[in-house]
Amino acid sequence: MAMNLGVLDQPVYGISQRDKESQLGKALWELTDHHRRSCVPYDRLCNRLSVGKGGPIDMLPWLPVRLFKEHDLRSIPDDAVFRVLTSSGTTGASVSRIALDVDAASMHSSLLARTLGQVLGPQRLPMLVIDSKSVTRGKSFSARGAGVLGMMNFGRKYAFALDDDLAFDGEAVRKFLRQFGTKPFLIFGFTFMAWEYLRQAGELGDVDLSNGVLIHSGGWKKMQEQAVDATVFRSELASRFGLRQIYNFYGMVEQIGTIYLESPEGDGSLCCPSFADIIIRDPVTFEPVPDGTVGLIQTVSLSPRSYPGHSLLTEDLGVIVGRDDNAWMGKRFIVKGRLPRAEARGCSDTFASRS
Amino acid sequence: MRQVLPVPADIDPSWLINESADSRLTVADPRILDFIARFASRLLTPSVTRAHPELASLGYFLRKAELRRLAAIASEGSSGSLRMPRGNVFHVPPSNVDTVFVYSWALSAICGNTNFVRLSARSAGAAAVIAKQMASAFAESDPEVARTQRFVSFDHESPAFPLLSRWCDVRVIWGGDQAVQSIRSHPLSPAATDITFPDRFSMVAFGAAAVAGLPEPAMDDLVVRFQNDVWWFDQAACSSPRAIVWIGSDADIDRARERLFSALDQSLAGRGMGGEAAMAIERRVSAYGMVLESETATLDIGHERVLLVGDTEITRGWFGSGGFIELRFEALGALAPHIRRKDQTLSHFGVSREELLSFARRLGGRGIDRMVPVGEALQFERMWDGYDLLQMFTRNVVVRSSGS
Repeated sequence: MAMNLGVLDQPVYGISQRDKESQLGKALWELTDHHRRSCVPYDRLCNRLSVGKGGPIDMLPWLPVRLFKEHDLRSIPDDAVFRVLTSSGTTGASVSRIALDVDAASMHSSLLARTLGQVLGPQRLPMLVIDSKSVTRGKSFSARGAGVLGMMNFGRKYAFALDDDLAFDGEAVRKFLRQFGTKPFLIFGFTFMAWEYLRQAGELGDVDLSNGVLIHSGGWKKMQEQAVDATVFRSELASRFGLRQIYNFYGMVEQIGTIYLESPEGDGSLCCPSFADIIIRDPVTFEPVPDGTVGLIQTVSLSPRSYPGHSLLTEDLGVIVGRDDNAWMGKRFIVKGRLPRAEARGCSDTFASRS
Repeated sequence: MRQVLPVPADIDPSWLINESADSRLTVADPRILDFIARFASRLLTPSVTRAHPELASLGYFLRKAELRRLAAIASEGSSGSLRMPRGNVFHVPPSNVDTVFVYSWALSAICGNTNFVRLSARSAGAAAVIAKQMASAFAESDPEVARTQRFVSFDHESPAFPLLSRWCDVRVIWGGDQAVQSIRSHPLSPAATDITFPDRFSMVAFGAAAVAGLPEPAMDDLVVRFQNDVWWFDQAACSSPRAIVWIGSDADIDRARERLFSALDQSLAGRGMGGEAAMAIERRVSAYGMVLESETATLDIGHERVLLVGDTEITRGWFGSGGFIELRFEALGALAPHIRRKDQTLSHFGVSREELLSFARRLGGRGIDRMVPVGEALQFERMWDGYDLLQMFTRNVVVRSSGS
């Protein structure tokens, strides 16, 4: 389909929420139409839900993100599938399978590049990956591997802080810093790994990461077990290594190409790029809730073109903490954890093991 | 192996089996009846039933009068035979319907058996209350009760599984089909037998004309009973209705469902509990998923419920608490071809006894083991899944003297 370049060409964090809602809303409804024309089951569901043809963004139909674990929804013919992404399966066997065609894949990279460009600048930077090269090999990557590979598009001169056996490779890190540490460089890793292994890097002696820009994601769940929150994370990395440019982001494979990057003001809130937005919904009635109220995060984005994933209701809880009140325009939100999965208390699970 | 009751302790399974040997219990043994009655009366105290209403029905099931009735049935031999305990019974109840293990254990205990009940290691909520009340009842009862009634926990890799399987005369397995098969890999002794309660599916039939014409107070009453059938155990017990079957003309059905569902929505909203978020999303995932798969399914989304109006195909799943499949038939008999062995309980309202009987005869036991009024779907009874458990837990000893 013809992309609505009007919206995609907007500055990533430069439009006010009000202007954004009318432009983005229109483009999202057009995208809904595109998916309804291209994905028969999706159209049927929209019909059953009596979905209209336009209106405010919060009237858009949404799909529970978990549906992509159980249903292979596509808006492209099978022979156009260029790559299938899979999500991490935290609950065992089921993973989301997201089909991309060439156009979608290239659009995702370009959207990601424009978002990350806000903090990385226009040049590819030397990149230290807090992971093992082995996660990027193989035919079907894990979400972790896909994340690393995706991010590698924004770096060059890669070094991996873990060896193939997932052991810390101090020599590789030392070498990278000797070579590139005096100019801006990129550090990428999952939050808990960045925390774990950057601190190990401290054992190498005097480590200066003040020219580094750390991009990390993956959530705080594992960190909370060690009582580490965003504030502790930041202050520890700043005081030990001079690492002050730290950006967390929120995103999911089901809406690849869209990331919600942490505000540059360092308050831990996440910002919506011009081509995406979030809506917080009551977890029981699914009605939108006022700013400041915790609810389920719905994420809408123009990035999903090859599958009807442009409006997804996640099982993550979040809260909107501000609008247009930051260096970056638009809504700001905080992720508050995950909704516990419903358990069937049936007479039928003598053996079921729960993860 | 960990013994949970009578007293918590880590115990070697063979030692414990040995300790429990040579039971002197009889069918309807007064020591056991006394123990169960003490336990039941503890469950019926207001503080317990307020927190866990499902324990009230358990306590009620085990109340003195009912115990006497069950004991009488269990002891009653036919002419020329005596009823004796079966011997050793090994129960493997589901880990997450908190109360089920008590029912099958209690019936077996009434029959005078030595019982080993495998409990889930993570007992919380109602199960924890049961354990607490039972521990107190044990302390007040004859030591022979504690010696022969053991509640233990162990994981499925434990040697206790093969050991207890060889030890028992009857093994009672509740569980998903896979769980049943997996437990069956442990051989029984040659004379022993399994009673299995695998995955089942249940539904409710509403006579549309009767529902449509129901006066207001009766409608409220029906809604409350239906609500309990559905929302206790999060609609996931084997006998919780997950399909709504309307019987009657389209016009009657339209009127009846309109009335029932508006009353139901109102009643659910009035509970003021706001519903459970995890269930709300679960319902949408199931319902949307089914529409994605089925060309004919439609949706009707109400307060704390989602209805999937299907054709005559019954999708036998769990759709999250409050999720239903809805079907229409002109007469109950027309449902018969769609019934499978997996189908267990048909709760009903507005369907005549004659219709139910002729439906049962038409099915000929190929499915549906219970037809009970709406409100009784979850009431456990000694006849379950086609078994008479008091029969299954006893043996008949023939004694005939010459000339008699």
